[in-house]
Amino acid sequence: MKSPLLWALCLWSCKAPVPEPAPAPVQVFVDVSRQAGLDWQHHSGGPEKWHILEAKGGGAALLDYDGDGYLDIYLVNGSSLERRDDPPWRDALFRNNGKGGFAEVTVQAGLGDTSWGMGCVAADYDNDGDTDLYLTNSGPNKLYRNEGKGGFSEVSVSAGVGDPAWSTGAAFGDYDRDGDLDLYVANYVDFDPHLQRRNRPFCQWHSVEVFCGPRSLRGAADHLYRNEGDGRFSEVTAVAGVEDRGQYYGFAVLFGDYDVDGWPDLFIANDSTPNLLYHNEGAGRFREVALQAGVAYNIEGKGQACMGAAFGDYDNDGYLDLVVTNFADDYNTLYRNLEGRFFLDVTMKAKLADKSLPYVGWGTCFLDYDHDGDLDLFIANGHAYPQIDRLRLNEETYRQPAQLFANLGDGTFGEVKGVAALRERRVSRGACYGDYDEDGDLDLLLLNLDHYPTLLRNEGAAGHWFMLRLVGRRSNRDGVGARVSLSAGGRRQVREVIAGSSFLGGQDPRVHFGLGPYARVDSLEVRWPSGAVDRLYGLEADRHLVLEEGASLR
Amino acid sequence: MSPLPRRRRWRHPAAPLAVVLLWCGCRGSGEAPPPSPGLELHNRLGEQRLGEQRYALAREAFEKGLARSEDSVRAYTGLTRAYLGMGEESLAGKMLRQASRLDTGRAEVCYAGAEYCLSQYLKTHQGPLLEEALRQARRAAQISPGEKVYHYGLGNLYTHWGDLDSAEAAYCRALAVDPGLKAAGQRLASLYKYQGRPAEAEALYRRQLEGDPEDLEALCQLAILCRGEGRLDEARALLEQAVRLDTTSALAWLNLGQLYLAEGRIQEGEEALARFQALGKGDAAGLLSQAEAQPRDPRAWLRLAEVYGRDGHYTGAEEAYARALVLDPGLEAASAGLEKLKALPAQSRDGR
Repeated sequence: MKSPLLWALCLWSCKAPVPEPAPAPVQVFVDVSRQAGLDWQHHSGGPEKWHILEAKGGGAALLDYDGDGYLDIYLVNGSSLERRDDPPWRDALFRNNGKGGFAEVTVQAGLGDTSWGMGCVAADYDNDGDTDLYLTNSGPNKLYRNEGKGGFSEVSVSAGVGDPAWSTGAAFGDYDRDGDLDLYVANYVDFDPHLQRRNRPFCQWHSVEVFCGPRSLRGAADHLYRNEGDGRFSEVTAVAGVEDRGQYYGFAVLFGDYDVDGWPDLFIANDSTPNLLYHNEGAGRFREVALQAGVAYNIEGKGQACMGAAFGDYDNDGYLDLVVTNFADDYNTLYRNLEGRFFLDVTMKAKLADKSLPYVGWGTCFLDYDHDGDLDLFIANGHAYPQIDRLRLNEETYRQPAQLFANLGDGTFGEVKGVAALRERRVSRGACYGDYDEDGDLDLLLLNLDHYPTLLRNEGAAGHWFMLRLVGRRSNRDGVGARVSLSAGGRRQVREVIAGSSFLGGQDPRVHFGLGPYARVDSLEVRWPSGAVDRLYGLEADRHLVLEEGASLR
Repeated sequence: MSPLPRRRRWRHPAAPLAVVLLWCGCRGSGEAPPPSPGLELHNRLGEQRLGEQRYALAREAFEKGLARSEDSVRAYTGLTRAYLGMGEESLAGKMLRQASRLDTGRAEVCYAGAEYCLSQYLKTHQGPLLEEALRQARRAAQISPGEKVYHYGLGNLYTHWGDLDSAEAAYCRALAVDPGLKAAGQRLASLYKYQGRPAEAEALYRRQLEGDPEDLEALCQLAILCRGEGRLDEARALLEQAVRLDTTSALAWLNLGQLYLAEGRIQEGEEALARFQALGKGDAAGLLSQAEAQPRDPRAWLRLAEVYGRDGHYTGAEEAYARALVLDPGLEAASAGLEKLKALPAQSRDGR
């Protein structure tokens, strides 16, 4: 053995301690897309993505359209510039068979929109007891009313919500608390592919030629539609003071009562322009307060390229905090709600900033995946530019892994690593959570650009849990906007019922709580949008319950 | 006239990757010869100019150094970097080849090679060029561990590549050589901040402020850290100091305004945020409201036009500039802005 290198190697190997084998990572999520039968592919333009429209969609929703108690799946498809008039692709509805599998029922259900789809949100807008569906498109949006026998009919025109702009995020919420769900639609840009050139100043990323971002295009104004209670909506954007006067590039829309005054406020995540936060002043009026409240820009004064967003009380202080996903070379921003008065960008303190730098974040949600009693954070990633792979950067690639961050309970988060189903690289966009297999923990659904969707079954939740579906009587039927406070083992947790969140999608309409070691819910309080309050005590954990307004449990 | 004879035609960017990599290359491990006393003035001046990013002046100095027989490897590598800074990549390539012919083993050659590889990588997007740039910069730092610029440059390359741990180590080495190297301190502090290591970031900002108590960037960043830690009195004092030093610091006004509001000092908060918006850093909607509230104020329309321009809303920008000019035809910033807009390609302006 004459080589010095080999000698060195030998010496090292002689002296180095034998390393302990690393424990195998717990596979908290398992990819079950294939066995679940989600045989459907998303399409969005060409592989090179030379136009902005090709790179931005789409979303997905978990909804129980047939009322059988199992979450079904709606997936939004794109199109292509060449075949827009004769689109070969359509959205899809998959029915949950209650045994872990899904079957496509798009045609039977009277669905299958062939527009260039962006997002979807599901809720019972007509209070008839079944779940309706609103789709955002590049082109007229669609409202499908659920006829109650497994079929839908399109009522966009008669309802007055067929917004013709390039719409992205949408959310239902009862902003005037009149007992029915209103609708906010975020619009992105005025887009004409024939006028969008490739070689303008805004068309490079890391010096690689890419499609032109929104800055080269005029933003499209958002719209608020008030539900008139008779199947029609009125556009009340100006009256309500939510005019989006800057015509920002809108993406995610969230209704949520951030200051706990009983009125749902409205947050809009905007791409490359400041975010908007409309404080609900009551009497049908909002006031824009994003700059004052600290969410227009991050703490470094930067208007970020925001995509997805979610509200959730991660620190269990009773106030909704906010997460917003952003572009690469920037961080996904965590805003901590300081007693309803102000949001502080705590991303760096929470140890989240550097983790997201190489990734372009889209869908996001707070969820207690491990049932330890605090909200964790999930982020779906995927770059906007396929050309980025030419650069062969360390992590900033076109396909990117999803990220799950465990709440460590001290204001910081730690990335959950080693989970194969999360590590797999995809170009994800929409992400939503829900308990599709009714086992009490939250699963995840990802919509992947130009690819098959991903269904991730949760296998990592060990503690007790509690899930609740609300049925409004005086309030809107889905209880959207209701605030649910649960106490177990001395810990209080708060959730709000939402319809529309993350990136262009809809979540499980039920509220979910992880209870850790506690097998009993000490108390449960529901503050309904109507103002009514129901209180229940001493409930058993590990149950899916339905609560009707007026406190009758099912 | 260039003092350097043309020897071989540089055929960038069609030159094959292997050729570019070869020219990027530094091999061997030679030390720089001891400088001839009194003969290093121009090279030193050139390097100083490079540090100041005054590339034309740097080129001039290095060319003078060559003409007076100063260390020619150092002059050629200096010229390589100066030409890269000036965007003259083919000339930079020529200079690098000259340096490589004379001595391939010197740290200067490796570092210039790293910068050259990086420039080629940014142009051609061929991954091996970035890896080669990293290799060359690492080599330069190994050969001359006492040269702070090499460690700092290596840190930047690692950051670009996305290896933040290695970037941190490189910045630390740069600061070990020269604790006063501000750029490295800022980069490292920012990296610590992003990694959720506020105490380490704070120590660096404090060290910067010890060296320069009026360092605006360090003041603002330290204030932001203090806000994040809930030390609001300290944050406020730092931000108030920042806006006293520079009334145009948008970042300071934004943080100060939000801090005042959070403390219930509503009027002061609103005023500070108005200052932030008035600096053109605000959102277009807010500035539109301001302009509409003061329709006779040309500067309000100018600010709106600038933000519209920044956001790519060119029609709005054009209209706002025009209104500013109607109110004050002598407003040079508005005329210049309008000219700039008109110079944009037609499709760029119409393609919204």
